[in-house]
Amino acid sequence: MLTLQEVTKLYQKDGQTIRAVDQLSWQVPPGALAVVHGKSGSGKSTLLMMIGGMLNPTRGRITFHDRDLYALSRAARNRFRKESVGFVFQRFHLLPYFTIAQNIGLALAMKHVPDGPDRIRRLAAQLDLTDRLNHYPDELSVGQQQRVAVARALVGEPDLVLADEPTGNLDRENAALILDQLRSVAAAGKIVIAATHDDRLLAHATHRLHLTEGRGVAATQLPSSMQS
Amino acid sequence: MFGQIIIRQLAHKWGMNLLLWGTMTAVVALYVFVLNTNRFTIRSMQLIMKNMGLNQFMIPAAADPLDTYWCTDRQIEFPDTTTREIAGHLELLSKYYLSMLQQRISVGDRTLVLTGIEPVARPDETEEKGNPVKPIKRGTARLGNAAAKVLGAKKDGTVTLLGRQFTVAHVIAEQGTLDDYRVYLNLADAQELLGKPGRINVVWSFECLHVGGTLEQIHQYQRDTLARLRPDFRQYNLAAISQGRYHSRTMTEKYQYYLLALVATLTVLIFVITGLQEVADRKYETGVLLAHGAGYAYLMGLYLVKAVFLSAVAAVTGFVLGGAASVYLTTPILVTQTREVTILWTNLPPTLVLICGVAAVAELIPMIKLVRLDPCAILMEE
Ligand SMILES: Nc1ncnc2c1ncn2[C@@H]1O[C@H](COP(=O)(O)OP(=O)(O)O)[C@@H](O)[C@H]1O
Ligand SMILES: [Mg+2]
Repeated sequence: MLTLQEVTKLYQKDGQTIRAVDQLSWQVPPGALAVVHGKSGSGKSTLLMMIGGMLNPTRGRITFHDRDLYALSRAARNRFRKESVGFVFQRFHLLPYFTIAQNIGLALAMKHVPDGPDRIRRLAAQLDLTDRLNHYPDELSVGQQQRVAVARALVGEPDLVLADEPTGNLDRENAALILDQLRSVAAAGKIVIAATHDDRLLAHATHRLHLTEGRGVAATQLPSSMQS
Repeated sequence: MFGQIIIRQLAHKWGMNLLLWGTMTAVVALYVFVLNTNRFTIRSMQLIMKNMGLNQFMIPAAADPLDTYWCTDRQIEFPDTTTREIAGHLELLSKYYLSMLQQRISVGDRTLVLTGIEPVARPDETEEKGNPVKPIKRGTARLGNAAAKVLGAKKDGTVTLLGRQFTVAHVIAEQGTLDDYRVYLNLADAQELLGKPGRINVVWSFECLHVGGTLEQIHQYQRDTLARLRPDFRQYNLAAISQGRYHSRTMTEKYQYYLLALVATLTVLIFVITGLQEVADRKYETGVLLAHGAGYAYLMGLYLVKAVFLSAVAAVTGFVLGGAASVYLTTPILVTQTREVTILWTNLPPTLVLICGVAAVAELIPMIKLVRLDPCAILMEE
């Protein structure tokens, strides 16, 4: 279970205080494919960073499986990210000097997982990247890079997958491939949280959070794809 | 993974890293070159001053004493009868003189000094008896120690010089000076070999009569007297020349500390500037690795290990290049060669430690920038 209690994030910029996230409380159970949606600048990315143990909230508490993330030591929080979190960044941030296989394997290598090559090949096959494993990121299309970013986030089988616009700017086919992956990860009992303005994703959400200037309205629903 | 990131990063930014390596190599090479050359020169200067202290030579007023000292081809020749004329001036204090025709010759890739000599005594001295330089029989050669090695010659053997055979009458014990590279011949033989009959380019004078006063006063008297008797000639003191050079070298030795400071400063500048640039270039990598659970120690390690690795490679290549340059760029006849210049391997560990240490310390400044990056802002970019 992921629990946010009255979480607030303030940024200071040029003497002004920006309320990126404002007193947000939210709960997401295992097995959820939660979608955070809202306009640009509504605080979606900030929220994902805080949930992922990357960014201290100004106020409030974030607990994951009863661990208060920001009460942990820095080293313990690093370990939490290494072991429990998979990020998909909006701009992918693949390492340019690593091949696709090495990029996907990054999380495994950081964790010294022995059966890395098998997992990488399996995931690459599911995301239609098999014949690209020895290429470098700059040789791939945007859609392919996006799929590599998703594969990198999923390969370590983290309990928490945080994806920032994972289907943004993608064609229907690419988006569907990625959506399938996220759904099956959620179905396996993990928590997937995607920040998006993409309605295609919204339709498959089990949980929704609508953000307006940092303030949230949460809703739980049966994904429309499951409604008859 | 740690090692892989470093290696991939090195290869990925190979141009930058090559430049860094090249610059550092040049800095270290320069340092080692100066250090090495200097060390040997100072030692040989000390030996020269010890061995040649008070001897003086006379050359035409228009000639440069350093050309005589280095035995260059800019030396000015004059008739060998001059020596007897000068010896005839009893006001001069020297008792013994030596006519000399000296010229560099090549033997294979080495250089030797062909030195034709003929002792001359003052008319009031017993001919040759007290002259510190013994005459050489025609057709024989007296070899400096290093010259004998270059020629592969032994006493009573023969050597071929400029196409003519000579019997080796004597191999002089090692002096540790330039004279080790001399091949002494009878003056007439040397004049014939070099095609310069009746010509010499130096008159040496030995054994100043001590008439009281300081050494400096005696030298002054000699100079003044010669200026009056032979205004077309000048007298020089070899010790003065070597002492001047020795002083300039010891000055350079003092400046080595400044040089060291300069090398350290350059190293710091190079690593700080490239390091800051690199931290900016690699900010996405930093964000991604942090998101994957890496700590700052890990991230700094990536930079520090790379900096130490690059500087270590540059220290070694620079050391070898600078050492090799000091060996090959100084011709064998230079005074620096009185003792063979070699690469001083014992200096490698301190050089390595120095360069790597300075590089690692310099890298700390970019590390401040690294920890002050805002990884979230970087990763949230749209
Ligand atoms: N590092 C920062 N410093 C100052 N303001 C920031 C920073 N990061 C984000 N913001 C501001 O916080 C608000 C929320 O941003 P963000 O979380 O990126 O929203 P979204 O992802 O929904 O576009 C925006 O107004 C943005 O300008
Ligand atoms: Mg965003």
